[in-house]
Amino acid sequence: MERPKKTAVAGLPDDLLVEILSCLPINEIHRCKCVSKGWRDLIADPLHHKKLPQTLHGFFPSYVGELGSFINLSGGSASTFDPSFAFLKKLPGIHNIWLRASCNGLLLFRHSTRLRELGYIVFNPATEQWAAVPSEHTLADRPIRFSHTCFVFNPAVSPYFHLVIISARGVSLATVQFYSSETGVWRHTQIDWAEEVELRRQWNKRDPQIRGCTPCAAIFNSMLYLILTDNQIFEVDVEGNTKRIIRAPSSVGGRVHGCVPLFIGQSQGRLYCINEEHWADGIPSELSSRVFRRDSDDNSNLLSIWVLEDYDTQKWALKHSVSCSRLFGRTGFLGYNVVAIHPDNNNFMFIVYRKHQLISYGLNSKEVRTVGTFQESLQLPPYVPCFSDFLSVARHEEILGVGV
Amino acid sequence: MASEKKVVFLRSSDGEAFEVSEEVISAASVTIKGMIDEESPSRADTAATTTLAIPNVTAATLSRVLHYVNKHFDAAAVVGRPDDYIFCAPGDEHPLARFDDDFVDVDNDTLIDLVHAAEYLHIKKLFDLTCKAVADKLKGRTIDQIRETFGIVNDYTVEEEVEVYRENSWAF
Repeated sequence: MERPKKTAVAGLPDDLLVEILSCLPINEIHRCKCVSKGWRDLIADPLHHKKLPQTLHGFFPSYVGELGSFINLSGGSASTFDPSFAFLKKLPGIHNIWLRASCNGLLLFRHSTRLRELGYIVFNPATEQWAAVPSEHTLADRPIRFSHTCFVFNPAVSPYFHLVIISARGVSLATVQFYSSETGVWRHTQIDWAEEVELRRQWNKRDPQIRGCTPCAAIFNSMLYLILTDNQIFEVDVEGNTKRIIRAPSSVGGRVHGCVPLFIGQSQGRLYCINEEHWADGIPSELSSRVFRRDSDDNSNLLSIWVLEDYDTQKWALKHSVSCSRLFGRTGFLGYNVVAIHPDNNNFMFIVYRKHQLISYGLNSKEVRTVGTFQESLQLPPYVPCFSDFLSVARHEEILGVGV
Repeated sequence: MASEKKVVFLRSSDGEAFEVSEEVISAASVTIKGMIDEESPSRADTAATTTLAIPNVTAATLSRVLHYVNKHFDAAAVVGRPDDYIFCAPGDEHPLARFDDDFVDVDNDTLIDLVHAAEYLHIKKLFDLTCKAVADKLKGRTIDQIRETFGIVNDYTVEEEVEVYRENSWAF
């Protein structure tokens, strides 16, 4: 269908303006929506989604299989997809689905068939493209402490997606299983970091393990980063070949005890780590000028935001330090977690469990905003729409056990 | 001389004709290469030169475009492979990088005419260069400055403007 060529800039047809805007950094593109209605509609038009990069749209609160809501960061416009994923539930062979992870526009669901077999479904809500992933099986009969599922997709690098499941079994031993949609098969390898750990052993005599919570993993430059229990970070590629251990950032005040890395993530091409620090006897005066607090009596825990400045020397630079009560209020310990860093700016998102709130904290503005509320949520996978197709060689029919 | 390089004439929308090497303009412009290929059978072995009408481009813009094309696509004028300079790191002093910077250092109307001409003539390198140059005029400017630069009227009501700023506050 022929679309009328309306012009947003005098003498510049829409398609040329889109070409020009696509040369800008992503935040500048979205900033340009404020210029005029013509520019706003042009930038928001789904026709141009492939040309103009997308940003963080919102989060899917998920709680033990309960789906159905979406926290839309831009507030206004309704989402163009169905957050209850009725489409997926209607697929033949699917009995139940649970949202497990998201990455660059794709969502990863665990599902069971009527025969109680478990497998995965990868789904793109923007295009309704989906693919089945066979179950990994190999670990079913072995005792595992926990397993950690990481989902990796970066359309700028490859149209294929990867799954990495890290299962802790021994003290320093983990089984890592890799799936690539390019081969359609699972491979696995053992990781034993005892040797690495021995070299770096400091004050603690216990071997580190992988933390069990989701924000403790990040994907950065196609590498996976996982926080270990002794404040070190384990780096592994999606094939399990390259691996090393790097130090997490230290304490703001240079202490060893009472400082725990909570979150690792990437934004604007940098790797970030957030530490929580507890000062039982109050924050020392020499630090207080560098810390954003509610007031001078505020001795609540500190959250320190670090950025990896030099990859080779593992040098972390402190970006910001803020107290918990400045972020979450004076109501004592509420139970919170870091959910995400905005991929294109300096906003950090936190979930405050007891208030059922998602809040955002901007490093530029130093302002706290409530961006959404939800009923129950254990996880909030972030969503950045992706309008290009992914590739997967696996055949749905075989995996879901449906007649061809 | 029979072996002399073939030339074509391009006639602008306002009637001015420009001479350019057929080899150079064919390498540069997909559109003109197509026109020449279409003409070829009828003019084979004839000495007559071809004149192509370029109805969408004025003389002022066309002469700029040809200046660019002769710099970038005339093998004799370019040292090494014509695309080599693209791989130079930013800040590397290369004759064509400097030329490009000067080439797009023009007023908005001229620049936008060049975007149009590059699109119509299908000269990808020039199109990318000029689009990037227009984008650079938007970069880091306030919304008011962008409106002023491009002559755009703010058609938001006060309420709508508050809302659109709020929705996109993350981007500022």
